[in-house]
Amino acid sequence: MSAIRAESLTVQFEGLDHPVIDSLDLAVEEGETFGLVGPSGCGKSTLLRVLAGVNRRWQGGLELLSRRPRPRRRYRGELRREIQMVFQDPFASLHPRHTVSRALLEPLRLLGTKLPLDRMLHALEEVGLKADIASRYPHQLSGGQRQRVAIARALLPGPRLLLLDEPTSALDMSAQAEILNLLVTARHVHGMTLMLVSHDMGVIAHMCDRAAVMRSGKIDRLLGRAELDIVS
Amino acid sequence: MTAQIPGMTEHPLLSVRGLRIRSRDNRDRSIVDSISFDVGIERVALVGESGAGKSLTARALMGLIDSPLEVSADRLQFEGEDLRGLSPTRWARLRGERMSLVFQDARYALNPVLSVGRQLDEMVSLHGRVPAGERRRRVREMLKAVGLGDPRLARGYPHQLSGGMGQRAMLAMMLINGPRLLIADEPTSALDAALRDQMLDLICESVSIRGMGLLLISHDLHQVVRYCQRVLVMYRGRIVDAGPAADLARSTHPYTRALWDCVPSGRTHGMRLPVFDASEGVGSTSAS
Repeated sequence: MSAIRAESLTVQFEGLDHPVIDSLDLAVEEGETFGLVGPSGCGKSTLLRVLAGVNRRWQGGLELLSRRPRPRRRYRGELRREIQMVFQDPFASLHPRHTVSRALLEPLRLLGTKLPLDRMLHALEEVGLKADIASRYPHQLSGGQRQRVAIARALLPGPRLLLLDEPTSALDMSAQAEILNLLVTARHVHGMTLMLVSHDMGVIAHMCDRAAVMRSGKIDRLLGRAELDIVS
Repeated sequence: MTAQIPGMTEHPLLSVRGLRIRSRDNRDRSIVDSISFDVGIERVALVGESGAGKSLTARALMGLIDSPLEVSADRLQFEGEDLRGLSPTRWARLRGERMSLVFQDARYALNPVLSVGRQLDEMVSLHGRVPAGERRRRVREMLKAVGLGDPRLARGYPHQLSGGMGQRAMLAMMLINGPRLLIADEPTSALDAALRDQMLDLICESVSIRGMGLLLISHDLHQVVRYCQRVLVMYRGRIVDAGPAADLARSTHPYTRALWDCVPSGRTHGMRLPVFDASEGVGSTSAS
């Protein structure tokens, strides 16, 4: 079953003469880790934002986790829970004046989860953070810790599709290794589909079952493990 | 001091022994803990993860550490001159003239309200009396040397430059007075991957043409090996490993090994990346 199926997906920004995403076709199977690479401005982040429901101004056909969202409409119901996203800069995605516990409890409260505190502590443990971090603010954390909090927040609603936009490019090498290990484990534990955007071919080759190279809003070529295995 | 001082030569540009940075509130714990090294006319890398104390070391070498932090050293010499207890005026003369520092992100390091040409001009006039015509000529030549030869760029303001161009402009400012030592603190981490090699090529080329010393600070071991002759590996305030860049891949130090092996690639697919766990003192395979 496909987790993502896009048919002639097009995104046009006002004032630009060429579309950012140009009748793109793509199918990602459920359980797959799929990579998107390409130069700055090729449309990979825009594609991710469409899938996340952040950018709703798209045309064409889209099927996500067997549901068909419609353009210009917010995702409703299960899709909102089942698709989560982790951004490049966790500083920008965590509220600067909310503590870690507040940031993590909010989605749980919205979902009406029972025993939210226990769930939160479990989520912190899952991403390798100690419980005492819950009372801190984002600026009191290291870059790697902040990204762990962002991942914990994305995992709490129990997503089936996790979208990752350059999740380690703001981190140094050793923190990157820790976050990538964490994502691999989380994917196995939760049985998620991952879609990973990165400019680093090494990260894509390490993580993904398949990858697409994007260029000017289109998929230039698809890479399988045979091609990814030889990335050094 | 034991005989193991990285890069010890007879007349280094910079000679550091027992450099310590502590917080006034907590003198028992050193953030940079008694590190020693020399830099000659060569390219030396200082590598480690964030929080290791690399940037603080760079700032201490430039006299830029402020209260509540304090610096002490058994020796801190630049071209034979003792930098300990240098007056603010003397520091100001030294910085940008004999030793200069390129920062990580040009967006925060350049003056937003001065054009690029004006900033370079200011850099020259701050460090000596140079006639206006000569200043203009130097600015023009310097900008050309870093690949910003187009005169429109000299009239441009920092916000009008791309990240790569801003970084070039900052490098031009730091080189224009002909310093002997350039310290570059993660000069490429704010740049796109494609621009990183270009920038490092430019820095290394500029440094060798001018016969200068370079201290390159980075978290990327594989990157510095390609650009530097010697590498100092820093972990939690100490230099834990040092040696020629060419031998780094064979280092037996567990931290250097973890830094070296933690790079993802096609070959590591399906494996856990090694992660350094200080409590075990070896490259560990645990998730956190």
